[in-house]
Amino acid sequence: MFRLGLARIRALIKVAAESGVAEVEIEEKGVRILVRQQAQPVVLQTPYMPVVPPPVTHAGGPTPPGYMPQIVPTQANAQPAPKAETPQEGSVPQGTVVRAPIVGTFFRRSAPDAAPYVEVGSMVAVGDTLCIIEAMKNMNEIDSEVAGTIKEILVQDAEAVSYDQPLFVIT
Amino acid sequence: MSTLAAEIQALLTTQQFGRALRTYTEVDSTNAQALAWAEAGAAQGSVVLAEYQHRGRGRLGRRWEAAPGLNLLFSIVLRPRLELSHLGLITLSASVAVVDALQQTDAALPVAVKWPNDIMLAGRKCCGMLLESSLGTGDATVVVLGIGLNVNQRIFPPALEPHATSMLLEMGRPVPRAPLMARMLASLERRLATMHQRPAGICSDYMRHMQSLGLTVHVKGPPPVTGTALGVATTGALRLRTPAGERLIHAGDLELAIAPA
Repeated sequence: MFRLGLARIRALIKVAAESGVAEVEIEEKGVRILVRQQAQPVVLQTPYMPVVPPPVTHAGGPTPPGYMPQIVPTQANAQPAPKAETPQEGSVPQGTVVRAPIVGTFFRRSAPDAAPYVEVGSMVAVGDTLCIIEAMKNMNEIDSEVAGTIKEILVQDAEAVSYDQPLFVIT
Repeated sequence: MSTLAAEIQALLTTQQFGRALRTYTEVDSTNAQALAWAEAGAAQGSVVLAEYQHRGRGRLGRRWEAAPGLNLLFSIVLRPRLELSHLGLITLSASVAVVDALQQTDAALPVAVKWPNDIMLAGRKCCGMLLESSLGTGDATVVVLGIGLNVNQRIFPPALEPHATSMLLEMGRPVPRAPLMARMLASLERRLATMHQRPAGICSDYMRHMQSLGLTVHVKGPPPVTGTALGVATTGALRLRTPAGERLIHAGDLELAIAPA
Protein backbone atom coordinates (compact mmCIF):
# COMPACT_ATOMS: atom_id res chain seq x y z
CA MET A 1 0.00 0.00 0.00
CA PHE A 2 1.29 3.44 -0.91
CA ARG A 3 1.83 5.55 2.17
CA LEU A 4 1.98 9.29 2.32
CA GLY A 5 5.22 10.34 3.91
CA LEU A 6 5.01 13.45 6.08
CA ALA A 7 8.20 14.68 4.47
CA ARG A 8 6.58 14.50 1.02
CA ILE A 9 3.60 16.48 2.18
CA ARG A 10 5.82 19.06 3.86
CA ALA A 11 7.86 19.39 0.68
CA LEU A 12 4.71 19.94 -1.36
CA ILE A 13 3.44 22.57 1.05
CA LYS A 14 6.81 24.33 0.82
CA VAL A 15 6.65 24.38 -2.98
CA ALA A 16 3.14 25.80 -2.88
CA ALA A 17 4.10 28.44 -0.33
CA GLU A 18 7.22 29.58 -2.12
CA SER A 19 5.69 29.68 -5.57
CA GLY A 20 2.62 31.55 -4.40
CA VAL A 21 0.34 29.38 -6.53
CA ALA A 22 -3.18 28.77 -5.34
CA GLU A 23 -3.04 24.98 -5.73
CA VAL A 24 -0.53 22.19 -6.23
CA GLU A 25 -1.73 18.69 -6.97
CA ILE A 26 0.15 15.43 -7.44
CA GLU A 27 -1.22 11.96 -8.04
CA GLU A 28 0.65 8.75 -7.43
CA LYS A 29 -0.48 5.17 -7.08
CA GLY A 30 -4.11 6.03 -6.66
CA VAL A 31 -3.59 8.76 -4.10
CA ARG A 32 -4.07 12.39 -5.00
CA ILE A 33 -2.56 15.11 -2.81
CA LEU A 34 -3.95 18.57 -3.23
CA VAL A 35 -2.39 21.55 -1.46
CA ARG A 36 -4.59 24.57 -1.71
CA GLN A 37 -3.89 28.03 -0.30
CA GLN A 38 -6.75 29.00 1.93
CA ALA A 39 -7.30 30.48 5.35
CA GLN A 40 -10.11 28.26 6.56
CA PRO A 41 -9.45 24.95 8.22
CA VAL A 42 -9.60 21.86 6.05
CA VAL A 43 -10.68 18.45 7.23
CA LEU A 44 -8.35 15.69 6.16
CA GLN A 45 -10.18 12.83 4.51
CA THR A 46 -8.10 9.78 3.86
CA PRO A 47 -8.08 6.14 4.86
CA TYR A 48 -4.37 6.44 5.57
CA MET A 49 -4.20 9.20 8.14
CA PRO A 50 -6.14 9.97 11.28
CA VAL A 51 -8.55 12.86 10.99
CA VAL A 52 -7.34 15.71 13.14
CA PRO A 53 -9.29 18.93 13.53
CA PRO A 54 -7.09 22.00 13.22
CA PRO A 55 -5.68 23.20 16.51
CA VAL A 56 -7.26 26.24 18.12
CA THR A 57 -3.98 27.93 18.85
CA HIS A 58 -1.64 28.48 15.94
CA ALA A 59 1.49 26.57 16.85
CA GLY A 60 3.69 28.11 14.17
CA GLY A 61 6.38 25.74 12.94
CA PRO A 62 7.51 25.09 9.41
CA THR A 63 4.07 25.09 7.79
CA PRO A 64 3.25 28.53 6.43
CA PRO A 65 -0.14 29.73 7.67
CA GLY A 66 -2.87 29.25 5.16
CA TYR A 67 -1.40 26.18 3.49
CA MET A 68 -3.23 23.11 4.65
CA PRO A 69 -2.91 19.77 2.89
CA GLN A 70 -6.10 18.26 1.57
CA ILE A 71 -5.77 14.60 0.77
CA VAL A 72 -8.48 13.01 -1.31
CA PRO A 73 -8.64 9.34 -2.30
CA THR A 74 -9.00 8.92 -6.04
CA GLN A 75 -11.39 6.50 -7.70
CA ALA A 76 -8.75 3.78 -8.02
CA ASN A 77 -8.60 3.25 -4.28
CA ALA A 78 -11.77 4.97 -3.22
CA GLN A 79 -13.26 3.42 -0.15
CA PRO A 80 -16.21 4.44 1.96
CA ALA A 81 -15.12 7.64 3.65
CA PRO A 82 -14.39 7.05 7.29
CA LYS A 83 -16.25 9.02 9.91
CA ALA A 84 -14.26 11.83 11.44
CA GLU A 85 -12.57 10.52 14.53
CA THR A 86 -13.40 12.12 17.83
CA PRO A 87 -10.45 14.11 19.10
CA GLN A 88 -8.79 12.91 22.25
CA GLU A 89 -10.22 14.20 25.48
CA GLY A 90 -8.85 17.50 26.63
CA SER A 91 -7.26 18.31 23.27
CA VAL A 92 -8.96 20.77 20.97
CA PRO A 93 -12.62 21.78 20.74
CA GLN A 94 -14.80 20.08 18.19
CA GLY A 95 -16.34 22.14 15.45
CA THR A 96 -15.20 24.59 12.86
CA VAL A 97 -12.59 27.11 13.90
CA VAL A 98 -13.05 30.47 12.19
CA ARG A 99 -9.70 32.16 11.71
CA ALA A 100 -8.68 35.73 10.92
CA PRO A 101 -8.16 36.06 7.15
CA ILE A 102 -6.27 39.34 7.67
CA VAL A 103 -4.28 41.23 10.30
CA GLY A 104 -6.19 43.98 12.08
CA THR A 105 -8.39 44.92 14.99
CA PHE A 106 -11.25 42.61 15.92
CA PHE A 107 -14.65 44.16 16.60
CA ARG A 108 -17.70 42.23 17.72
CA ARG A 109 -20.11 45.03 16.79
CA SER A 110 -20.54 47.59 14.01
CA ALA A 111 -20.47 50.54 16.44
CA PRO A 112 -19.75 50.93 20.17
CA ASP A 113 -23.46 51.21 20.98
CA ALA A 114 -24.59 48.43 18.63
CA ALA A 115 -25.40 44.88 19.71
CA PRO A 116 -22.70 42.28 19.02
CA TYR A 117 -23.10 40.38 15.78
CA VAL A 118 -23.02 37.08 17.68
CA GLU A 119 -22.85 35.79 21.24
CA VAL A 120 -21.91 32.35 22.55
CA GLY A 121 -24.97 30.24 21.80
CA SER A 122 -26.06 32.30 18.76
CA MET A 123 -27.25 30.30 15.79
CA VAL A 124 -25.56 31.38 12.55
CA ALA A 125 -26.28 30.64 8.91
CA VAL A 126 -23.82 30.64 6.03
CA GLY A 127 -23.12 34.26 5.13
CA ASP A 128 -24.06 35.71 8.51
CA THR A 129 -21.62 38.33 9.74
CA LEU A 130 -19.58 37.17 12.74
CA CYS A 131 -17.36 40.19 13.36
CA ILE A 132 -15.41 43.01 11.76
CA ILE A 133 -11.67 43.15 11.37
CA GLU A 134 -10.42 46.65 10.70
CA ALA A 135 -7.20 47.27 8.85
CA MET A 136 -6.23 50.65 7.42
CA LYS A 137 -9.76 51.96 7.93
CA ASN A 138 -11.15 49.12 5.88
CA MET A 139 -13.92 47.53 7.90
CA ASN A 140 -13.91 43.92 6.74
CA GLU A 141 -17.00 41.98 7.66
CA ILE A 142 -16.10 38.37 8.35
CA ASP A 143 -18.96 36.13 7.30
CA SER A 144 -19.58 32.59 8.42
CA GLU A 145 -18.87 29.84 5.91
CA VAL A 146 -20.74 27.28 7.96
CA ALA A 147 -24.11 27.06 9.68
CA GLY A 148 -24.19 26.17 13.37
CA THR A 149 -23.99 27.50 16.89
CA ILE A 150 -21.29 29.77 18.27
CA LYS A 151 -19.56 27.63 20.88
CA GLU A 152 -16.64 29.90 21.75
CA ILE A 153 -15.49 33.44 21.06
CA LEU A 154 -11.73 33.36 21.39
CA VAL A 155 -10.85 37.07 21.07
CA GLN A 156 -11.79 40.12 23.12
CA ASP A 157 -13.57 43.04 21.50
CA ALA A 158 -11.19 45.66 20.06
CA GLU A 159 -8.21 43.30 20.35
CA ALA A 160 -5.50 43.18 17.70
CA VAL A 161 -5.52 39.89 15.80
CA SER A 162 -2.86 38.30 13.64
CA TYR A 163 -3.28 36.41 10.40
CA ASP A 164 -4.86 32.97 10.86
CA GLN A 165 -5.59 33.57 14.55
CA PRO A 166 -8.60 31.55 15.74
CA LEU A 167 -11.60 33.79 16.40
CA PHE A 168 -14.63 31.55 16.88
CA VAL A 169 -15.57 27.92 17.27
CA ILE A 170 -18.82 26.96 15.57
CA THR A 171 -20.46 23.59 16.16
CA MET B 1 -30.84 61.84 -13.41
CA SER B 2 -29.91 64.83 -11.31
CA THR B 3 -28.29 67.88 -12.84
CA LEU B 4 -25.06 67.18 -10.94
CA ALA B 5 -24.95 63.59 -12.20
CA ALA B 6 -25.55 64.70 -15.79
CA GLU B 7 -22.78 67.31 -15.52
CA ILE B 8 -20.37 64.74 -14.08
CA GLN B 9 -21.07 62.17 -16.76
CA ALA B 10 -20.63 64.76 -19.49
CA LEU B 11 -17.13 65.46 -18.14
CA LEU B 12 -15.98 61.88 -17.50
CA THR B 13 -12.69 60.79 -19.01
CA THR B 14 -12.67 57.36 -17.38
CA GLN B 15 -13.14 53.88 -18.80
CA GLN B 16 -15.19 52.49 -15.91
CA PHE B 17 -15.32 54.80 -12.92
CA GLY B 18 -18.58 56.71 -12.78
CA ARG B 19 -19.96 55.22 -15.98
CA ALA B 20 -22.60 53.57 -13.84
CA LEU B 21 -23.81 56.29 -11.50
CA ARG B 22 -26.69 56.41 -9.06
CA THR B 23 -27.52 59.69 -7.39
CA TYR B 24 -29.72 60.43 -4.41
CA THR B 25 -30.90 63.68 -2.90
CA GLU B 26 -30.82 62.01 0.49
CA VAL B 27 -29.72 58.54 1.45
CA ASP B 28 -28.97 56.58 4.62
CA SER B 29 -25.34 55.91 3.66
CA THR B 30 -23.76 55.78 0.23
CA ASN B 31 -21.62 52.85 1.42
CA ALA B 32 -24.73 50.89 2.39
CA GLN B 33 -26.29 51.58 -1.01
CA ALA B 34 -23.08 50.66 -2.83
CA LEU B 35 -22.70 47.42 -0.86
CA ALA B 36 -26.25 46.44 -1.78
CA TRP B 37 -25.61 47.34 -5.42
CA ALA B 38 -22.37 45.34 -5.39
CA GLU B 39 -24.23 42.32 -4.07
CA ALA B 40 -26.64 42.72 -6.97
CA GLY B 41 -23.69 42.65 -9.39
CA ALA B 42 -22.56 46.27 -9.78
CA ALA B 43 -19.41 46.52 -11.90
CA GLN B 44 -16.04 47.84 -10.81
CA GLY B 45 -16.20 51.64 -10.70
CA SER B 46 -19.96 51.93 -10.16
CA VAL B 47 -20.65 55.04 -8.08
CA VAL B 48 -23.35 56.02 -5.60
CA LEU B 49 -23.49 59.77 -5.04
CA ALA B 50 -25.67 61.60 -2.53
CA GLU B 51 -26.34 65.23 -1.71
CA TYR B 52 -26.99 64.30 1.92
CA GLN B 53 -26.53 61.21 4.09
CA HIS B 54 -28.64 60.94 7.19
CA ARG B 55 -26.62 57.98 8.45
CA GLY B 56 -23.21 58.81 7.04
CA ARG B 57 -20.67 56.40 8.44
CA GLY B 58 -17.28 57.04 9.88
CA ARG B 59 -14.88 54.68 11.60
CA LEU B 60 -16.43 52.72 14.50
CA GLY B 61 -19.90 53.96 13.75
CA ARG B 62 -18.99 57.63 14.09
CA ARG B 63 -21.26 59.94 12.17
CA TRP B 64 -19.98 61.80 9.17
CA GLU B 65 -21.37 65.34 9.19
CA ALA B 66 -21.81 67.10 5.89
CA ALA B 67 -24.22 69.85 4.90
CA PRO B 68 -26.50 69.03 1.94
CA GLY B 69 -25.67 70.16 -1.59
CA LEU B 70 -22.21 71.56 -0.88
CA ASN B 71 -19.85 68.63 -0.79
CA LEU B 72 -19.05 65.39 -2.59
CA LEU B 73 -20.28 62.28 -0.81
CA PHE B 74 -19.92 59.11 -2.80
CA SER B 75 -19.01 55.43 -2.71
CA ILE B 76 -17.35 53.36 -5.40
CA VAL B 77 -17.66 49.62 -5.95
CA LEU B 78 -14.22 48.02 -6.32
CA ARG B 79 -13.38 44.47 -7.29
CA PRO B 80 -9.65 44.38 -6.60
CA ARG B 81 -7.34 41.59 -7.66
CA LEU B 82 -5.30 41.70 -4.47
CA GLU B 83 -4.31 39.27 -1.78
CA LEU B 84 -6.41 39.94 1.30
CA SER B 85 -3.25 40.92 3.15
CA HIS B 86 -2.76 43.78 0.67
CA LEU B 87 -6.25 45.31 0.71
CA GLY B 88 -4.69 48.22 2.61
CA LEU B 89 -3.11 49.29 -0.69
CA ILE B 90 -6.57 50.52 -1.69
CA THR B 91 -6.49 52.90 1.26
CA LEU B 92 -3.11 54.27 0.19
CA SER B 93 -4.04 54.49 -3.50
CA ALA B 94 -7.31 56.28 -2.83
CA SER B 95 -5.50 58.79 -0.60
CA VAL B 96 -2.96 59.55 -3.30
CA ALA B 97 -5.76 59.86 -5.87
CA VAL B 98 -7.63 62.44 -3.80
CA VAL B 99 -4.40 64.39 -3.32
CA ASP B 100 -3.91 64.34 -7.12
CA ALA B 101 -7.40 65.72 -7.72
CA LEU B 102 -7.02 68.47 -5.11
CA GLN B 103 -3.66 69.56 -6.49
CA GLN B 104 -5.04 69.56 -10.05
CA THR B 105 -7.74 71.93 -8.78
CA ASP B 106 -5.27 74.24 -7.07
CA ALA B 107 -1.57 73.41 -7.04
CA ALA B 108 -1.06 75.75 -4.08
CA LEU B 109 -3.36 73.80 -1.75
CA PRO B 110 -1.39 72.67 1.33
CA VAL B 111 -2.42 69.00 1.07
CA ALA B 112 -1.17 66.25 3.37
CA VAL B 113 -2.28 62.74 4.25
CA LYS B 114 -2.78 61.65 7.81
CA TRP B 115 -2.36 57.87 8.06
CA PRO B 116 -4.19 55.97 6.99
CA ASN B 117 -6.49 58.08 4.79
CA ASP B 118 -7.52 61.43 6.19
CA ILE B 119 -6.79 64.20 3.71
CA MET B 120 -5.73 67.38 5.46
CA LEU B 121 -5.63 70.97 4.25
CA ALA B 122 -3.45 73.24 6.38
CA GLY B 123 -3.65 70.72 9.22
CA ARG B 124 -7.43 70.34 9.19
CA LYS B 125 -9.40 67.45 7.80
CA CYS B 126 -11.21 68.08 4.53
CA CYS B 127 -11.75 64.52 3.36
CA GLY B 128 -12.43 61.24 5.08
CA MET B 129 -12.77 57.74 3.73
CA LEU B 130 -14.28 54.55 4.98
CA LEU B 131 -13.87 51.26 3.21
CA GLU B 132 -16.16 48.33 3.79
CA SER B 133 -15.84 44.82 2.50
CA SER B 134 -17.24 41.42 3.12
CA LEU B 135 -14.84 38.51 3.47
CA GLY B 136 -15.34 34.86 3.99
CA THR B 137 -18.12 33.83 1.68
CA GLY B 138 -15.69 32.50 -0.88
CA ASP B 139 -16.69 34.99 -3.58
CA ALA B 140 -14.28 37.39 -5.23
CA THR B 141 -13.47 40.28 -2.93
CA VAL B 142 -15.68 43.34 -3.18
CA VAL B 143 -14.64 46.53 -1.46
CA VAL B 144 -16.75 49.66 -1.24
CA LEU B 145 -14.72 52.85 -0.96
CA GLY B 146 -16.69 55.68 0.63
CA ILE B 147 -15.35 59.22 0.32
CA GLY B 148 -16.62 62.42 1.88
CA LEU B 149 -14.91 65.56 0.60
CA ASN B 150 -15.75 68.97 2.06
CA VAL B 151 -15.92 71.18 -1.00
CA ASN B 152 -18.02 74.31 -0.44
CA GLN B 153 -19.05 73.97 3.21
CA ARG B 154 -18.39 77.17 5.19
CA ILE B 155 -19.73 76.31 8.62
CA PHE B 156 -19.17 73.16 10.65
CA PRO B 157 -20.80 71.94 13.86
CA PRO B 158 -18.98 73.37 16.91
CA ALA B 159 -17.46 70.02 17.87
CA LEU B 160 -15.88 69.64 14.43
CA GLU B 161 -15.05 73.27 13.71
CA PRO B 162 -11.49 73.27 15.18
CA HIS B 163 -10.54 70.18 13.17
CA ALA B 164 -12.45 70.51 9.89
CA THR B 165 -12.06 72.59 6.78
CA SER B 166 -13.19 72.67 3.16
CA MET B 167 -11.67 73.51 -0.19
CA LEU B 168 -13.65 76.75 -0.23
CA LEU B 169 -12.28 77.83 3.15
CA GLU B 170 -8.70 77.17 2.06
CA MET B 171 -8.99 78.54 -1.50
CA GLY B 172 -11.24 81.47 -0.74
CA ARG B 173 -13.61 80.68 -3.58
CA PRO B 174 -16.28 78.10 -4.34
CA VAL B 175 -15.26 75.06 -6.34
CA PRO B 176 -17.52 73.68 -9.10
CA ARG B 177 -18.34 70.16 -8.00
CA ALA B 178 -18.92 68.35 -11.30
CA PRO B 179 -15.45 68.98 -12.80
CA LEU B 180 -13.89 68.17 -9.43
CA MET B 181 -15.80 64.88 -9.24
CA ALA B 182 -14.75 64.01 -12.81
CA ARG B 183 -11.11 64.66 -11.83
CA MET B 184 -11.50 62.56 -8.67
CA LEU B 185 -12.90 59.63 -10.64
CA ALA B 186 -10.12 59.90 -13.24
CA SER B 187 -7.38 59.94 -10.61
CA LEU B 188 -9.01 57.14 -8.62
CA GLU B 189 -9.25 54.96 -11.71
CA ARG B 190 -5.63 55.65 -12.60
CA ARG B 191 -4.19 55.14 -9.12
CA LEU B 192 -6.23 52.03 -8.38
CA ALA B 193 -4.96 50.52 -11.64
CA THR B 194 -1.37 51.45 -10.73
CA MET B 195 -1.87 49.78 -7.38
CA HIS B 196 -1.93 46.39 -9.07
CA GLN B 197 1.08 47.08 -11.26
CA ARG B 198 3.42 49.14 -9.09
CA PRO B 199 2.49 48.98 -5.40
CA ALA B 200 5.89 50.38 -4.39
CA GLY B 201 5.18 53.49 -6.51
CA ILE B 202 1.92 54.06 -4.64
CA CYS B 203 3.79 53.80 -1.33
CA SER B 204 6.47 56.29 -2.34
CA ASP B 205 3.90 58.78 -3.68
CA TYR B 206 1.89 58.35 -0.47
CA MET B 207 4.94 59.02 1.68
CA ARG B 208 5.72 62.23 -0.21
CA HIS B 209 2.46 63.60 1.18
CA MET B 210 2.53 61.88 4.56
CA GLN B 211 1.93 64.41 7.30
CA SER B 212 3.81 62.61 10.05
CA LEU B 213 6.76 61.11 8.17
CA GLY B 214 9.81 61.18 10.40
CA LEU B 215 7.87 62.59 13.35
CA THR B 216 6.94 61.07 16.66
CA VAL B 217 3.36 59.91 16.67
CA HIS B 218 1.06 58.24 19.11
CA VAL B 219 -1.36 55.56 17.96
CA LYS B 220 -4.26 55.36 20.37
CA GLY B 221 -4.56 51.66 19.72
CA PRO B 222 -5.52 49.28 21.11
CA PRO B 223 -2.84 48.75 22.16
CA PRO B 224 -1.44 52.31 22.34
CA VAL B 225 1.97 52.72 20.71
CA THR B 226 4.33 55.68 20.39
CA GLY B 227 7.16 55.84 17.91
CA THR B 228 8.66 57.53 14.90
CA ALA B 229 6.71 57.22 11.65
CA LEU B 230 9.05 55.57 9.13
CA GLY B 231 6.54 55.27 6.29
CA VAL B 232 4.11 52.67 5.02
CA ALA B 233 4.46 49.06 3.93
CA THR B 234 2.85 47.76 0.71
CA THR B 235 0.13 46.25 2.89
CA GLY B 236 -0.82 49.80 3.90
CA ALA B 237 0.47 49.30 7.44
CA LEU B 238 2.20 52.18 9.22
CA ARG B 239 5.87 51.48 9.93
CA LEU B 240 6.75 52.76 13.34
CA ARG B 241 10.15 52.78 15.03
CA THR B 242 9.69 52.14 18.73
CA PRO B 243 12.14 51.48 21.56
CA ALA B 244 11.27 47.78 21.16
CA GLY B 245 12.08 47.79 17.44
CA GLU B 246 10.10 48.42 14.27
CA ARG B 247 6.37 47.80 14.54
CA LEU B 248 3.71 47.54 11.84
CA ILE B 249 0.45 49.23 12.77
CA HIS B 250 -2.73 48.13 11.00
CA ALA B 251 -5.44 50.09 12.76
CA GLY B 252 -5.95 52.91 15.22
CA ASP B 253 -6.26 56.68 15.45
CA LEU B 254 -3.05 58.56 14.94
CA GLU B 255 -2.04 61.77 16.64
CA LEU B 256 1.11 63.79 16.49
CA ALA B 257 2.76 63.30 19.88
CA ILE B 258 5.55 65.87 19.75
CA ALA B 259 6.06 68.83 17.46
CA PRO B 260 8.89 68.49 14.93
CA ALA B 261 12.30 69.54 16.21
